[in-house]
Amino acid sequence: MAEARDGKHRWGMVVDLDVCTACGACIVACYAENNVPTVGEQEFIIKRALPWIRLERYWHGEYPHLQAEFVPMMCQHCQAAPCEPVCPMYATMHDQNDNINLQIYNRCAGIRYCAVNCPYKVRMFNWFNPYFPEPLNEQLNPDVTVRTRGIMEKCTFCIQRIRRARDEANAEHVPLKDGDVVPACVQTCPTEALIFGDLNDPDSRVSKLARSPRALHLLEELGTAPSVSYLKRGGPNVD
Amino acid sequence: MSIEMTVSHALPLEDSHEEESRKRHLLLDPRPQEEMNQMVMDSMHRTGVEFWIVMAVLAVLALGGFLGGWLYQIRFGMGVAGIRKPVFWGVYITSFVFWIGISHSGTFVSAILRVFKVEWRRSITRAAELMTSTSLLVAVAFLGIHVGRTWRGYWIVPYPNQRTLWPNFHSPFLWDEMAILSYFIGSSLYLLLPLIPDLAMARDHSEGWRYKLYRILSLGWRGTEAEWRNLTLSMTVFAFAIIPVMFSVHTIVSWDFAMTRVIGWHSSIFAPYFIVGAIYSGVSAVVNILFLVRWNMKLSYFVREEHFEAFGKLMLILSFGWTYFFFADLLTEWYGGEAIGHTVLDIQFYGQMHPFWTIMVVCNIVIPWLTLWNRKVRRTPIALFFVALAVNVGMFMERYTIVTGFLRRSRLPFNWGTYQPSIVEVGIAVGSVATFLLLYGLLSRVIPMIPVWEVREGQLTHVLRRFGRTKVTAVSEWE
Amino acid sequence: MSDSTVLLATYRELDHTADALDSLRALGIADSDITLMSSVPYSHAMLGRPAMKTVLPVISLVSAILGFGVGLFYTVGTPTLYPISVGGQPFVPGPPTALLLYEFTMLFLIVGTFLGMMWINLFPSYGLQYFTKRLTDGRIALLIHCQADQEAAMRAVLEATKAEQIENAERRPL
Repeated sequence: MAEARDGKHRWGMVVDLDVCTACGACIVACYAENNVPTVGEQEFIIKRALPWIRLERYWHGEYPHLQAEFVPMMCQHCQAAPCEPVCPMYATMHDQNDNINLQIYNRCAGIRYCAVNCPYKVRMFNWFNPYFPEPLNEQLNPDVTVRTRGIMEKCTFCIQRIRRARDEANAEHVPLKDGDVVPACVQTCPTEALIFGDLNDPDSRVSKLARSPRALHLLEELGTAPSVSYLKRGGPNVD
Repeated sequence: MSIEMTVSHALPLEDSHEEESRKRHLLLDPRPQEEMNQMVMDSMHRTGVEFWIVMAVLAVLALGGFLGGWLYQIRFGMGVAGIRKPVFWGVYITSFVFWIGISHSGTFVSAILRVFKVEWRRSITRAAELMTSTSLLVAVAFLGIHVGRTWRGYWIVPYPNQRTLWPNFHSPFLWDEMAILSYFIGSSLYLLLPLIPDLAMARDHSEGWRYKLYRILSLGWRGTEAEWRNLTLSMTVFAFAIIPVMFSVHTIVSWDFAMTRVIGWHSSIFAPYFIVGAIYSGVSAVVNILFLVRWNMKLSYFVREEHFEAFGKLMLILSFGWTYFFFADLLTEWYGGEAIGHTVLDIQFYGQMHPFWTIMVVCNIVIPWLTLWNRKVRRTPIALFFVALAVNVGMFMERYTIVTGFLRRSRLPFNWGTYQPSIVEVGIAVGSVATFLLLYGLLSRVIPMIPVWEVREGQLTHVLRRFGRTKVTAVSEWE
Repeated sequence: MSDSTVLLATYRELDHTADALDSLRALGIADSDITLMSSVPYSHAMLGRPAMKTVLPVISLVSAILGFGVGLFYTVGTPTLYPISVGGQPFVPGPPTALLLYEFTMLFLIVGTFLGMMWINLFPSYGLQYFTKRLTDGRIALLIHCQADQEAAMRAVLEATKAEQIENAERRPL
C-alpha cells in the first residue's frame, strides 16, 4: 500500500446506496462505540435524538407501489465546512493532519451556531444530561468522552480509532495501511455498504470507489467539499 | 371709527395666535429654570403606593419569570425550552434581536436628531437614552440564556488564558460581542454626558441619600466655561461617533443570520432591513415609554402633543421604509422560483407561520398606514400609544418568523421540522419585559428624566418674531 | 495671600453679565482671573470671552489609533500566533478583519473621548470649590480673583450691572 502524501491523511467514506439494506446496525454500533445517549420516546418524537449516523428515508410513488429509499447520513467532514468559522470558541475546527472536522467538547459552550449553519443537519445537541439506563452504563467506551448537557456532538469518523491505529503503527514503525482504521459503523455493516479509508492515498479502496462514475456528493453546489461520497443506486429493477 | 376697528381687530388675533403657539410648543413656553428644575425633582419623588405596587408586580414577574426560568433552565438543561432539531434557535434569539432593536431608540433620538438639529428632541433625549441602556442589558442577558453552557459564556471574552485559546474572530458572534460592547459603552456614556449638569442640578436640590448619590455622580460639576466647552465638544464627537456604531450593531446582528447557509437568511438585504426594522421598533418603543413617563411622572409640560405628533410622522415614514425592505426581500425569494425558496415562503404565507406572519403584516403595515396619516391620531398620546404597541408586537413577530420560520425548512426534506415555545421560554420572554420596565421604573426615580439645561437652551434660542401680519417661530443657532 | 480676595457675583440676564465683563476688563482685570459659571452653555462670543483651546480632539484621535492597533493585535496577531483552520478560510480573513478593526477603533475613540473629557475637566473633583447652589437655577456666576484694594471698585461695577447677589466667595463642599 502506498504511503499517504506529505504524511497527511484525508479520511473519507464512501456509502454504496445500492448495497445498503437500511438494517440500522451502523446506528447501534455508533451508539455503542461513542457513548451516545438515548433520549426516550417523547424526546425522540420532537426530534431531539442524537444519532451520529442516521438513515434518512424517502418515499417514492403512491400506494400500493411505494418504494423507500434510504440514505445513511453522517457528518460529511467538509473541507470547507460551514460549521467551523461560526463557532466563537473554536470548538469545531479543521484538523490539518487528518483533514476531518473536529468537535472539541471542552470548548463547546452550546451556542448552536454550528448546528444552524450545517446544511446536512448532522450536528446534535445534548438537551439534557445523558442518562444510560442500567446496564448500559457499564458498556461505555473509555476511549470516548461522555458529553454533558449543553454540548454539541457529531460523527467524528471514530477519531479514537484513527488515533489508536496511528499510535500502533508508529509503535511498530510501519506506515498506516489501508484497512488499518475501521470506524464502528464500517466494521458493523453486514453488506459492506460503508467503506472508509484515506482519500489522499490513490490506491486505497475508498479512493478508487470515490472516483467511480456512480459517485456523487450531497449538496455539491454549496461548495462544502464533503469527504463522504455516495454511490448511486442501480437501475429501476433493483429494489 | 375705521381706525378703532382696525386696532380692535388686530390685537386679539395676534395675542391668541401667540398664546396658542406658547401652549403648543414647549420651546415657546419658557418658565424660569427654578420652576422647571422643581418640576423634574418633583417627578422623581412621585413614588406613591400605586408606584410601589406596580414595581412589586413587575419584580415578581421579573424574578419568577426571567430569573427563575433562567435558573430552572440552567439546573435542568436546555431541553426545558421548546427548541429542537432543526430549529436550534428560538424565542431567546428572537428576544435578543428584539431588545437590540428597541435599544436603537435612544441613539436615534439622541444622536441623529441632535446631529440634524431637530429641536423637538430636547426634552425627550434622556428618556430615550435610558431605554437604550436598559434594553441592552436585557438583550445581553438573552445571549446568556440562549447559550447551552451559560457558565462558560465568558470564554467569548478575548483575554489571555491558560487554555492558550483566543476566541474565533471569524465568527459573527464575536463581531456581535465587539459591536454590542462598543454600543453599550458608547450609549451609556452618551447617556451620562448630558446627564452630568442635570445631576449637578439634582445635587443642589436634594438632601439625604439623594444628595450624597448625586454629589458623587455629578463628578464635581460646576458649569465653568471650560467644563461646558469640553462637555459639548465631547457630546459632538459622541453624536457623530455613535451613529455609525448604531448602524453597525444591528448590521452585525443581522449578519448572525446572513452569514449562514440557511435559505431565507442568506441575504445581503438583511443589513439595511434589520437597521430600518430596529429604528422602527425603537421609535415605537420610545412612544410607549414617553406616554408612560408623561402620565406617571406628570411631565406634560415637557412632553407635549407636538412630540407625539412628530414621532407619529416618524413612525409612518419608517413603516414605509420597513415595508419596502420587507417586500424587496420577499419578492427576490419568490421570483427566483427555487423549490426550496417557495417552500420557505409557503410556510410563512399558508403554513405553520401563517398566524405570526399575518399579525406581523397587520401590526407593521395595516395599522400604521390606516391611522398615522391622521393628524388628530398623531396628536392624541393614548392613540399613538396603542399604535406603537401594535408595532412592537408586529416587530417581535417579524423576528420570530425570521428566526424560527426559516429554520423549519431546509434543502434536505428529511430534516424539516417544527417548533413550539415551551412555558419556560414564554415565561422568560414575559419576564424580560417586566425586568425592563422594573429597571426603567426604578431608574426613572433616580435619574432626572428631562435634561432641563437642554430645554432651557432651546427656549432661549426660540423666539416668536413678527413676520408681516403674524408671528412666527425664529430659532437662533448658538454654535 | 491676604492681599487677594475672591468675589462671587450671580446674574440673571446674559446682557448684564456681558456688560459686567466689559466693565471688569476696563478696570484691568485679566480674563484669566475671571471664571464664568452658568447653567446653560453660552458660547464664548456671546460673553466677549477669549476662545478656549482644548486638547480633546487630539486625545480622541490618539485613542482611535490605539483602538486600531488593539484591533490589529486581535484580528491579525492572535490567528498568526495561534493559527486554527476553520471552514477553509484564511487564518486572517479579509472582510471580518476590516469589520473588527472598525469596531475596535470606534470603541476606543468613544471611551478615549470620555476619559479625555474627564481628565481635562479634572473630574471627579470632590474637594472644596467656589460655588453657589443657586447657579443651577438659571443663573450666571462670575468668580473674580482680585487684589483687596480693588474690591470696592469691583463691587461698584457689579452693582451697576445689576448683579443679583455679590458675596465674598468661600470654598465649600459641593
